[in-house]
Amino acid sequence: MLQVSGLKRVFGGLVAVRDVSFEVRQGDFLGLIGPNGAGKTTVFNVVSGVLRPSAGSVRFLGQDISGLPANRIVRRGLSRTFQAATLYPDATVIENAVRGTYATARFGLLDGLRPTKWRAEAEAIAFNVLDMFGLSRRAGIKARELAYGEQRRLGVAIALAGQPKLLMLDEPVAGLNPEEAAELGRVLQRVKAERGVTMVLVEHHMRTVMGLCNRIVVLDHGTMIAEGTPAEIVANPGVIEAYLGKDAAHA
Amino acid sequence: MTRTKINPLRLGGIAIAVLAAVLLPWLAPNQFYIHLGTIGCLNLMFVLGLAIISRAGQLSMGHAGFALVGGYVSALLSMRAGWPPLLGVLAAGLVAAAIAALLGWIILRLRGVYFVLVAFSFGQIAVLLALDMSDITGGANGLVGVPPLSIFGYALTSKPAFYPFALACAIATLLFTWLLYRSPFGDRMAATAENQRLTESSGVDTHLTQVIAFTIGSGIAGVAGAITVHYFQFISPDSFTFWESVSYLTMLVVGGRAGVLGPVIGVLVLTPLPEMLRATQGLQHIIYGGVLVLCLLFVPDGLSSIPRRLGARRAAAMPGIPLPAER
Repeated sequence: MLQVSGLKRVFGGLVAVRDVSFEVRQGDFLGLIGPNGAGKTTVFNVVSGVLRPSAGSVRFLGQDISGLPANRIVRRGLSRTFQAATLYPDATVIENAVRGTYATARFGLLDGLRPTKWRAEAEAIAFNVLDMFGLSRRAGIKARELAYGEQRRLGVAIALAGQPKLLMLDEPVAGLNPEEAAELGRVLQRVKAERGVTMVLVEHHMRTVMGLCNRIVVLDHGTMIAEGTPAEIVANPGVIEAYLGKDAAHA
Repeated sequence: MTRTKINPLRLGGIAIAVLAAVLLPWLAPNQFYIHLGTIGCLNLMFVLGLAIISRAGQLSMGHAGFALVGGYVSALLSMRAGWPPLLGVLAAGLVAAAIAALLGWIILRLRGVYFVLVAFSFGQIAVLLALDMSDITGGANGLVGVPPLSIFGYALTSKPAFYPFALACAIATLLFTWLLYRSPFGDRMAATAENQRLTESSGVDTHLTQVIAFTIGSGIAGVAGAITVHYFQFISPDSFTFWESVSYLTMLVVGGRAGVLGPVIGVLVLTPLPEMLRATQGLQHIIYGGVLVLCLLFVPDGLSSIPRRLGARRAAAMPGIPLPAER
């Protein structure tokens, strides 16, 4: 579904990512992990079109998308979320989700004269998504008034409202307490099962990654050091070394 | 949602306001009030143009520059090429919009203060060009004897004859802006202003959205500038300077940026204010400045936000109101 090959990204003289290649298959729940500064977010930003690759290519659904602007990549069915709670703080929760439907919504000039029609269609989709994330009862309040955990869920809901085929989540449970993290994990699994959305997860939180993902790609210092199932990854000495240092790997 | 329903109370208010505006020549049969009314209508068009740009999250400090360009285009077309002024006004809007589209495509990638600076420079350059190209623009003397607008052969030379035309243009612009804000595109504009990164990630070309908003808003400025020039039958580089840009911005901020009501209120308050303060002689500018500072301090979202603020206070005092979306 998504092929990343030979990806390289340089910031000035600093090579943030060098020669990273991996594949996301239909139905995957791929974890992208690595210590701080490993280049996870850079990979994420290049794939989603926020940054251009310095070298290498990104193919999505068989087509080269490297260097396309972010908005066009989203319209092809690849959505992403942001690390911080990124939403429209002064808009209502339902309005936030409505804005997530832009990716698939089509509109003509005439729709300007019939505002109730396009809005009702968008709200129907948005409500459905809010319901999945347990936010439909909060639809009428402003996003800034939500609790932090709810804001994080809304961030994911906005991305899902665009009905993506591949959803990339940038540290969705960062800052959540263990109960909230587990709850979000359950919701993600349910969304995956019900909608058949393939997911990529960038995460620090090892328990979340191990619990949710079927395959894991490990980055360190901008290079890929391992790829495999969660069981293979936890047994991989290179990964243990990257996370805990050389001595731990030998111990 | 409640927002898309038309409230009968609001409808009544709109009807009364429009009726009062239409009846102004009879309510205040005084050349000066009618002149003020005309200026108010023209100001409303400028401020609405600026509001559309601001709706998409940008601040244009070169708004008067587009008015100046529009004014010269229409004046020259009607004086030198013999175009009917009404056609000249249309051409003025198109030229201003075309320049905005080109300029916007290049400079709207700049964020925040940089766009403000470049737009400001555009306004300054427009003034300098008008001064320098004196064989076309008449230089600092400007162009005297710009033909008046005429509709079906009826020339709008007197103030009472011009006012209904200005009012019709202002109401048409208001209606257009209102429809634009409620359209899917208007929704994308507002989303872009609130969180550009997230809107981009929701599949909207936010750069294009801002360019289109800038083009529409500046095109309106071009039209309004041209109409103003045909009203005064005169244009010079001083007609639309940086200070006009500032005054449109002031009206927008004082009135409120959120909807179409804000510009109307801003124009209603700030168009006659300098005239009313004229009686205070030297204190005029001080009082004007004081009003602005007080507005920014106490109603940062503009005068049009006052009813909503009061409503929110009342709602906060009465807990247990069901959420509108629980249906």
